[in-house]
Amino acid sequence: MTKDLGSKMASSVRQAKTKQPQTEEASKSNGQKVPAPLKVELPLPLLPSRRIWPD
Amino acid sequence: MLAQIFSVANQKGGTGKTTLSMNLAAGLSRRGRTLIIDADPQGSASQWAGLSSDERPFPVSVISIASNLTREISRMSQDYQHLVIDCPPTLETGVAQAAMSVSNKILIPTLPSPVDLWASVRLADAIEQIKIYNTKLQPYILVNQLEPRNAMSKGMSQALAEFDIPALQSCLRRRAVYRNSALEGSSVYCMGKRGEAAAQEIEALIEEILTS
Repeated sequence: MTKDLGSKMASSVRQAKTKQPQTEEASKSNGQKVPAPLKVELPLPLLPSRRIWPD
Repeated sequence: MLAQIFSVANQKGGTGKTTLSMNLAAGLSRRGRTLIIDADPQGSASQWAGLSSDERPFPVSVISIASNLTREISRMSQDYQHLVIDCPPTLETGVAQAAMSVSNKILIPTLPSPVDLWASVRLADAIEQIKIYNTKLQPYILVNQLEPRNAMSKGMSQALAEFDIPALQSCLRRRAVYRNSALEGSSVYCMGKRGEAAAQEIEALIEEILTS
């Protein structure tokens, strides 16, 4: 068990040595889905009003 | 006199940099004139020494340096045999790099945990850059808070083999006396029977780094 844990720790160090901070491009090339940018929803009072006047 | 300069550095907090700096300096002061440079804005080393009593002052003076670190260090290295620099837990400000650029040896206290190992990988990259200018720099990883029966502690040697930086044979065990010595503004050398085993560890560490 200790040997397994030692191997896992060693492998995680190897990964840390090679892993670079991921950019959006890198995420795409890995086939990962990049989340869409959040849309800010305006609160109701700020929405442009559209009034429909009766004929 | 030209001091031998030891930086205690790790960009991760909580790895025992100040505890190591204080006890290392206490041990080195038994061999020659020693000064601790508190380069961490948190000021833990200064706070530690400030807790010592008048009857039993901390055996090493601590000075806090916030700017012109390299100039101040080169000035002080004339008057001391050993300088121990307690570095801040970040590489963002350039202070740790400045300290390492004028050091002879860097001690990197690392806890037996994956997250600490990964942080040491990033520090190792920074050290490689500094070694371009400070070619005589000798960095060492020191396993801190080792628990010999803990499986992760046992697995450390395999993980440390992946580093380009050598790991010291000496290691520091997880002991309450290290924390208690901080509370008393003292070092493990002055903790009587409780501090004996820890003092032996520090002595072994000092012998190893002075002869390596």
